[in-house]
Amino acid sequence: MFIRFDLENKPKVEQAADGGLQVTVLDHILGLPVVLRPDLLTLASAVVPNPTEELGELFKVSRNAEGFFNEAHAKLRPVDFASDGIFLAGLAHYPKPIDESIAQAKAAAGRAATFLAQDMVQVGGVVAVVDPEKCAVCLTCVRTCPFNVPVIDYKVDAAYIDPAKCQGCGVCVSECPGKAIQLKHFTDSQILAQELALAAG
Amino acid sequence: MRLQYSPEIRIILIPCTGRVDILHLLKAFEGGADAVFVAGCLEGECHYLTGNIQARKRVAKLKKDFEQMGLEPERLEMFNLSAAEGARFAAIAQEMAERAYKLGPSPVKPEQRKAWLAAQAQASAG
Repeated sequence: MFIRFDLENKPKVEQAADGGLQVTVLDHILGLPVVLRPDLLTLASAVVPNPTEELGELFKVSRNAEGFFNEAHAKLRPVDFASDGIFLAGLAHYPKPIDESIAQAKAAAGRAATFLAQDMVQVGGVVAVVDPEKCAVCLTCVRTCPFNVPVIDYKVDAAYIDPAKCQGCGVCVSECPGKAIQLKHFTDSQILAQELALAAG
Repeated sequence: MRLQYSPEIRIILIPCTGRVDILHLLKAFEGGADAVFVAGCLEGECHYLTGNIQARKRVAKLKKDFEQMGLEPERLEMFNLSAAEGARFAAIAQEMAERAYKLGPSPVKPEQRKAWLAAQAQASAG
């Protein structure tokens, strides 16, 4: 049996007339107080997260207001982070019993194995591509990329964006003063063609 | 939710407002749009970390330039809202549509604007 209580109506622990324990708690579904007569009353100690701010920022993974890490999706991707290849398990996620932690750790290991078992990793097609002919090596993309992906390839004297690392936001594309970068699937000509077609209609 | 907003609104999908180039905004007006708005994520909640901040800068810069270009800066706006705020999106879309109606055809389309101004003058006189 599990009865949830809210902070306004905390359970009351009293000594009953016969000397035993008595716990009175308001059941939020029934809307009525439930009286329990336990032999033993155990209190769970609070679980507070370790300082996770630095780690979270380092791996760019989200945390909740309390400082526990957030999974990508509670039902569909329960041990994944939103970023690829990073998984979570245990108390870093939320307070939970040891068996649940172990089950989750096994799940995280399984998810990691599916990733590692691949000979090849397919990445999304929405990535920025530099035209080395147009690139003036001004470093604008290097400075504006929120993920520090662009690097200068001195073999061709142009910026290089690793398609496996590129997140596809397009910030560098819009900032590039030489229009040397295009975001695949969202090129300037594609966006402008959409605009002109829609504005004409 | 089946929310309603003006059917004149046309949406162009981009991965992040950081992809919005000043060129895209200008081209929309050149193509005949009477108002343009950029709808980005809440500040500090950009999935790509800083895209919406970059977009805000570009929109603010262009709004300033609009005065010199003879376009009303109100024709361009950036809004920040989360994907969960459907009702707010509909309200914003409606507001921008109403703004476009109030301001009339943009000066980029001189003939349409002249006709609209004449119609406005006639309506107020009559």
